[in-house]
Amino acid sequence: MRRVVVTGMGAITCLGYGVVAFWNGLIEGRSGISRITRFDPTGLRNENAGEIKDDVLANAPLPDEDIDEATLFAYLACLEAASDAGLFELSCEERMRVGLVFSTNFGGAGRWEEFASGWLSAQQIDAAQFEQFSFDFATRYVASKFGFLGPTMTLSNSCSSGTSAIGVAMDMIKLGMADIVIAEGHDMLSRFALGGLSILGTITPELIRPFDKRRSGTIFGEGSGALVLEAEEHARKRKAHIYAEVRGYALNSNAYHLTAPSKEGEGMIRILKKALEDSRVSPEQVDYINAHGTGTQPHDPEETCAIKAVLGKRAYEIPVSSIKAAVGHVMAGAGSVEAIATIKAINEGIVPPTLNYGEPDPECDLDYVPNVAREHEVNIAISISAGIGGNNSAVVLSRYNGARRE
Amino acid sequence: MGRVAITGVGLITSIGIQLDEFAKSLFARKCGANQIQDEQSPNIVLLRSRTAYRVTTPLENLIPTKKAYLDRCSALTIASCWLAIKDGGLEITEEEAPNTGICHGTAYGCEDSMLIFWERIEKRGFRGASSIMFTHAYMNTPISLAAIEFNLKGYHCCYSAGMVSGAQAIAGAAMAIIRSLARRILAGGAEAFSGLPFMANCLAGELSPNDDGEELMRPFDVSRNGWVMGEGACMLLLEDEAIARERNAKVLGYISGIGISQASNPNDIGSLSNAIMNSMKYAMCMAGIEPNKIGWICASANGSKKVDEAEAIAIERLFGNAVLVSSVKTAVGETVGAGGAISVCAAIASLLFHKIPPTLFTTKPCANIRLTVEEAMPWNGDKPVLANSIDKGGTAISILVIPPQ
Repeated sequence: MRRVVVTGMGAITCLGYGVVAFWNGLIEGRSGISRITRFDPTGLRNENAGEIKDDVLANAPLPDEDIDEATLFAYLACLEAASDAGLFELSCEERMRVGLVFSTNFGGAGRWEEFASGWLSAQQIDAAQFEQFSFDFATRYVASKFGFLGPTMTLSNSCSSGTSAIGVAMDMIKLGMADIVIAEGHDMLSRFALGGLSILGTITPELIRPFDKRRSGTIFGEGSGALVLEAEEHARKRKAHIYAEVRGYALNSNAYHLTAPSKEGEGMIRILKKALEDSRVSPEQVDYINAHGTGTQPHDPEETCAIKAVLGKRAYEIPVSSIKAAVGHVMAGAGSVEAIATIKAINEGIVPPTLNYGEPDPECDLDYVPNVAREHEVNIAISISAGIGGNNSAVVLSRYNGARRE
Repeated sequence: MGRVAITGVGLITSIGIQLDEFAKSLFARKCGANQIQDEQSPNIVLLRSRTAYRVTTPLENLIPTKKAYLDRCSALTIASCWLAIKDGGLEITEEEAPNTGICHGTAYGCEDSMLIFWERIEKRGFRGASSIMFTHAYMNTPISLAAIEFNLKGYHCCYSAGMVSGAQAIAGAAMAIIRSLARRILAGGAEAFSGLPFMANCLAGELSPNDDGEELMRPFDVSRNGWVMGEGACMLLLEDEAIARERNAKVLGYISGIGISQASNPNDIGSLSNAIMNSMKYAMCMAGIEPNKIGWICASANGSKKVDEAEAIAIERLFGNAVLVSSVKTAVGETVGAGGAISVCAAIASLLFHKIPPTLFTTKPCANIRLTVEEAMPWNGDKPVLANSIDKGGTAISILVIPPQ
């Protein structure tokens, strides 16, 4: 089967627009989390989030149409990724072989809120609001704007969606359904989502502190990450810059509980084993793990336990970090931006830190790269995601080696 | 691509539960439409569209364990999974659970639960929100609950892409099986009738009657005036062919080709018909099957002025009038996220019962295509069937189903 490589990346997060702003923020140890301004957050467990402020959007190349924020984030990330990969130089015929696999947890949630409120109060409502809520609205919008008319899919695997999209996009290329596929994840901060996540107790009333003993929950963020996946031979033929190789992935379910993690990380153990198996990579070859690391009490030990179970002593020899204290938990976009951070770590030889880390937890006893980025050679890395409903996903990324044989 | 075996069906529609009842009703020209009576909001009374295809069979009896709360979309999903597991004679042991997955599509998911949750926030603020209602309002709640209910620990993916959601789930599952990421996957979609999407589609001029005519779904007819919303669920048990053979499973058909394409401008008939034509071409190409080998096309047509015309043009350009075409949506409604999976089921029914279903209510086709209209048409059931699924937003999916051997 065909090898799949990454030839373009785009991101928009609370750290700014563009992969450079995102990566610089990460390695400088900055956090973009601040008080929510889009709506009145009074009553939420935490009034802060990784919100994309107006000044970030003011410098971005906005489209002419009036679109919801979620679609806007997806559009901007894809615009950067597609430009980066040189996809706008492709002919119309070649664009027929460019597919899209997008993902979102809440679609155009802001527009849905307007529509639903109108319905409840029996006021005049606009069908276009509901249309923009459609989970595939962003997919169709980007396909139409950029003329990418290959296969499209829109996934909604809660917070493991972005990683899932990378895997499904990889399948499309491996099976010859497309030569290039943009794998993307996006979500916006909305009253609906934060209201629910707050009452669930997922949100911390304090600082987000992944893997720290004092951790008490996560902080959500918004944005999008987009990765251009391409068949290796196609990328080489058109002399595209290759950032990394997507070696394999896995998706699964704990089949246990809607919100509680599986016992002793059983589901996550299986996902790591299966992703390594699909990638034909042994645990000893793994140099870095970009963890899901939400900062919730039950999740972080579960993930630690799974990493140790699968990697054995190697788990103690490699860095494991979470970027969620820098950009917030970007929901469906989390897996996408975290995959980008992982690829940057491979390319730059620097691993991003876990911010706000201070007090070690005996249950979380790995090297979490506390607070400061670190130089570290990374050839093969895993990015892990998990989501409400009990689903898990993992993708294995590696430095591109043209001589390697499948 | 290799072949993916279909070894079980879980089907819930307004004209019947499971394949036998569905096929019997379909071939007997039964229509599952009924008047909307009991909507919670007075808003619907004001709308011109008042008909829907709703499932009247109580779902409680189709769900193995009692639940304190279930959104109707989740109930439809769990029930159809249960039916598919039983139909496929599958026992999900602890050993096999990690090899058994689920791919599920829905366009609107748990809209009723979303609305209940939102109403609480509107009235009581963030602190008055309901955590239970929130966890039951996610798009992936139905798939998650099904995984928990049946111990489906393997490949797991939820798709939401309007009317092609279920078809995407089947395509995604087939892709995963071919890639050896799973041995078997329950795949399909579910859609519950819900006031909010009904209202939105009606206001958008999608639903019949979007003119002054009669409220009725007439696919491909010159007088068509929109579609009628339906509800239902269909989950197929898909298995790696060798695994199915190993356990002596009865094979109902094979998926041997998938084509997916996107229109650059869904409002342009030419662009949309190109996408539909490409999706059919890609599916046949993947299966290595020429157009003249296709037995019939289970069309996506639902009475939409724009999409039906584009599909008719695409079929005419690719097949002339040499291939039989039919749409089952007049029988079961436009079941949106379940529609693509139900079309695959109709294809299976035609292969097993040797009949091609009629397209009800269509009297004057809008294009030169061979539409089965009056009665079900007998055939040998020995040729591949293309099951089309098209979203009004311009996504087209074709799934090629070949007969069991």
